[in-house]
Amino acid sequence: MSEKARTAWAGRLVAIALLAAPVFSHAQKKEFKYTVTPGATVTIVNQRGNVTVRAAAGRQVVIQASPASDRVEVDAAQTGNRITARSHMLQKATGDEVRVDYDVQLPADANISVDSGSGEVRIENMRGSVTVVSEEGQVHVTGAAGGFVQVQSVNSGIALNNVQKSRVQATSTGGAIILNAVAGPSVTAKTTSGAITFTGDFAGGGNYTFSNHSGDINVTMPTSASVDLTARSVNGTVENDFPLQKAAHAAFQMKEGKSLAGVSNSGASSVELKSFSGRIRVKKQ
Amino acid sequence: MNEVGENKESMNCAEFHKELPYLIGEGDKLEHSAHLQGCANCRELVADLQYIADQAKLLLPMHDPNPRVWNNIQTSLEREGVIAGGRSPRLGLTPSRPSRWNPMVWAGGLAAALLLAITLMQTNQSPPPAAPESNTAEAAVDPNDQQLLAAVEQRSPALKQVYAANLRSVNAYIADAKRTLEQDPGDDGAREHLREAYAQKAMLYEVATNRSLE
Repeated sequence: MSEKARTAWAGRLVAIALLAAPVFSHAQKKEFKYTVTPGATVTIVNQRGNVTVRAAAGRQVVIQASPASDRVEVDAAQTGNRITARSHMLQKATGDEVRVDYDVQLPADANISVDSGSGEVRIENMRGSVTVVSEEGQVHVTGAAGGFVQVQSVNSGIALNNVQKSRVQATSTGGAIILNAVAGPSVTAKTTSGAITFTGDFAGGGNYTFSNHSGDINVTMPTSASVDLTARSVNGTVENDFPLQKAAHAAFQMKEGKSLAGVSNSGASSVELKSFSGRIRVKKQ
Repeated sequence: MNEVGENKESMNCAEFHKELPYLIGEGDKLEHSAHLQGCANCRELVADLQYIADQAKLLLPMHDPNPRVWNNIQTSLEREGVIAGGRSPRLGLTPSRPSRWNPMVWAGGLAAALLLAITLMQTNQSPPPAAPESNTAEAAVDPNDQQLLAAVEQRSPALKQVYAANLRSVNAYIADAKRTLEQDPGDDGAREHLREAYAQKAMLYEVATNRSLE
C-alpha cells in the first residue's frame, strides 16, 4: 500500500471517529409541540445559548432545543395553557457544555417570558406580553404590539424596533438601549452607564421617560411629533436642535445648557429626558 | 481545480466529505477549501470537530458552596436587624422553584431595605443608613455586594466580573446623586436620580439572586 493510500485511510478512520464523536458528545436536538388556546404563557429558562421566539400561525407552540452537549438536558411540560421549557445540567459542566439554543414558534397572542443567563434573545411579532431577563446577551424585540414589553438586562444592550401600542419598560445597568419606532401609553428606558437612543414620533399621547447616570440620551423625532418635552442633566449638558415652543411654566428650575422645556404641536405626549452627568440631545428628523 | 482536487464550481457536501480524509491534517488547505468557504453546514461540521478536540481539554471541577457563605449572610442580616435570629423573613419572595443556593432570605431582606430607602425618599426624608450604598472606591468592600458576588461566582464564575463592574457603576450613581443632594437637599432632579439609582441596584440584586438557572 502506498504511503498516500495509507495516509488516506488513516485520514478516513480519523474522520469517521471524529464524525461519529459528535453523535455521542452532542445531545440530540429536541422538539416539543403543544396546542394552546388564546392567552397562553410560554416560559423559557436557559443558562447559556441563544433564544429566538417568533409568532406563527395556528394554535401550536413548537419549541426546538439544541443542546451543545449531553451534560445539559431540556425539560419541557405543559400544564393547562402554560408551557415551560428549561435547560438544566445533568452533571457538572462548564462553559459551552451547558449551551442550549432555542427556537420557539408560538401564536402571536401568547405571552412569552425568557429568563436567560448568557446568550442573545430575539423576539419577533408578538401581540401578548413579552418579558425578558438577561444577564449577558443582546435582547432584540421587534414587531410587538398591544401588550406589555418588559426587558431587564444586566450587562448587554436592548434594542426595541417597531413596538407599537405597548407599555414598555426597558432597563439595563451596563448596556445601551435603542428604541426605534416605539410608541405606547407608557414607555420607560433606564440605564446606569449606557446610552439611550430614541428615534420616532412619540405617538399615542403617552408618557415617555428616559433616564440614565452617565450615558448620552439622543432623541430624534419628526417635526410632526406632538410632545410636551422636558430635559434635564444635573452635571451634563442639554442640546436642542428641534423647534419647541418654550413652556409657559416649567416644573423645575431652568438652567441654561442643562435643562430644556418646550412643546411641539399640541403636546399630546409627555417626554421626560433625565441624565445625571450625560449629554442630552434633541434633534429634528 | 485546486491542489486538493476540488472543483470550485461543483463540489457538494457529499463530495467534500469524501475529500475530508485528504484535507484533515493539511492545515491551511482545509481552512481555505473552496467548498468550506461557501458551505455553512460543512463549516459547522469542521468547527464541531475542532470544538470536540478543544473541549476535551476542559474538565474543570465545580466547587460546592461553602456553608460559611450563607452563615455569614444570615449573621449580617441579623446584625443589621433585617431579620430576627433563627428564622427567615416572610417577604413573599420565595421562588416558586427550589433554588440550589437559596439566596432569597438574604436577597429579600436587602431588596426590602432598598425599597424602604426609595419609599422614604418619596416622602422627602433622609435615606436610612441600612441601604448598601457606597462611593466608587468603597464598592469593593461593601459586605452585601461582596456576598452577592460570592453567590454569583458560585453559580456562574464567568459572570462575577460582569456583576462587579455593574455594581461599581450603580454604586457610583448612588454616590453621585447623594453627594448632589447633600449639597442641595431641595434638588428634586438629584432626588429622582437617587431613587432611580437605588432601583437599578435593586434590579441587579433581583436578577442575580432570583435565578433558577442551573
